Amino acid sequence: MEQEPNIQIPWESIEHLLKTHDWNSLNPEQRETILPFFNEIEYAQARQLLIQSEALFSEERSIQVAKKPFLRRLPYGIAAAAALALLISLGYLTLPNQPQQLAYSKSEDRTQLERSTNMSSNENSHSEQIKPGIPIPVQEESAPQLGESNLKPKREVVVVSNSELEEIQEAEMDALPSSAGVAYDQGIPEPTQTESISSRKSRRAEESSPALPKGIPMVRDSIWKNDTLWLLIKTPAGKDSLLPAFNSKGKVWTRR
Amino acid sequence: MKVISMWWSNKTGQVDDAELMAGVLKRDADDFRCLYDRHKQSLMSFLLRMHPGESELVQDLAQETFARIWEKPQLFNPEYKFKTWLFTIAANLSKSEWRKMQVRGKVHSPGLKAEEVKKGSLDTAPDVQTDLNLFSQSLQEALLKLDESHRNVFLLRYQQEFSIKEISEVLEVPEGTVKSRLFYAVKKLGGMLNHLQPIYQSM
Repeated sequence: MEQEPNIQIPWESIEHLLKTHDWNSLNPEQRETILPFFNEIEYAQARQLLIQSEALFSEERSIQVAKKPFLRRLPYGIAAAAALALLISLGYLTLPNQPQQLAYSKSEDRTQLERSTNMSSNENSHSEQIKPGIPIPVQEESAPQLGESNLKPKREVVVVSNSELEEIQEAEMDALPSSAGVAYDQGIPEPTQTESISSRKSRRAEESSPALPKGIPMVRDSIWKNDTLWLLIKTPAGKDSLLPAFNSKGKVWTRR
Repeated sequence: MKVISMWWSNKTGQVDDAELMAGVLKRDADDFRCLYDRHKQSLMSFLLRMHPGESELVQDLAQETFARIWEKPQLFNPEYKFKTWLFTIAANLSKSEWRKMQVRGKVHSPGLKAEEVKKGSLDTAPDVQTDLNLFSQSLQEALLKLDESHRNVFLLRYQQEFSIKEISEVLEVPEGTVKSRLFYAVKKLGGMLNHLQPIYQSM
């Protein structure tokens, strides 16, 4: 890089003159400002450069943010509003006062969501029916990727089918500690034997993984296995474990 | 719903960059996306002029710039404009890339693909469009012959419309240096683009 002389240049003034005046329209005082830096030819070249650059770059910018006039955009706006209203009315879009159906990226929001979901889980069941094999988009907190359409990466979780669920349950049964137990008379409703397995499983899928406030275990489900009642417990640490249920006499709850 | 409202606010320019950065600081990906959508084009234009014909490199540099913003949003000083900070990061990345290229002896191919820089077309008259395309091509070739520091100031000033003060913040040099570099950049470029101005050649 060649060494540049360290001179004080009133560049703002020069630039203004370059953009607004050609050489012939400069008054003597303005020429005095210019002459230490540009001769007549250089001035003309610099002026042309700035004018053309301005035109070029402003066109580039207008391409980037090419906007149609308001009236031309209006029909699209109306169509978009109608489509939005339709989606909301059909239930495909939800409003913020239905937090359990929204995707959250902030951990604090998620905690709030989980609390509210947990509190209302005994009273309300979710309106959406989750079917096996249908992918559910889940928001992640990792750094968003840069891209046109999808900055938030989505992970797809597939709801397991009934047969897969049964296999998982059996595997859990095998790893069961036999010493631990939970008294059955602590507000846990006795499952009706007439309730079909599939309906209980689909209910479980709907109520999957609500976390509890710290320190309180939660019974997520109950299962009959070999004529014994087992409870699926979510521990305060967030782990799932299967424990046998006990009746009011302190004995393991059985069918007979 | 938030995404829609953020999108709408972004479109209408209701949320300023500093507010969005406050959201990014709280790891809000929607706010980050708004910033990205708002500034990616101007950043890409700048980087394409700095590294013509290197569209992959330009993509990488732009991604890296925004990745750094996501990784370290706490480095943003709200007293300054977000765009100044964005271009400071981009200019520094571009500078190190330039140095690496110099070490490797890799020289930019001077032939700029005009369509890379000027994708699409407006309702401009064809002859004006042709003139602008010709000028764009010639300017890019001339910019390549400029020193990187001169090219930087020229693009920041006339393409990105930064003030002298903002350029001095981006490049972390005194304002006097920016003015001096602008003067030499304009003088040299004007001389190099002389062939586009036949009227002045006879003067």
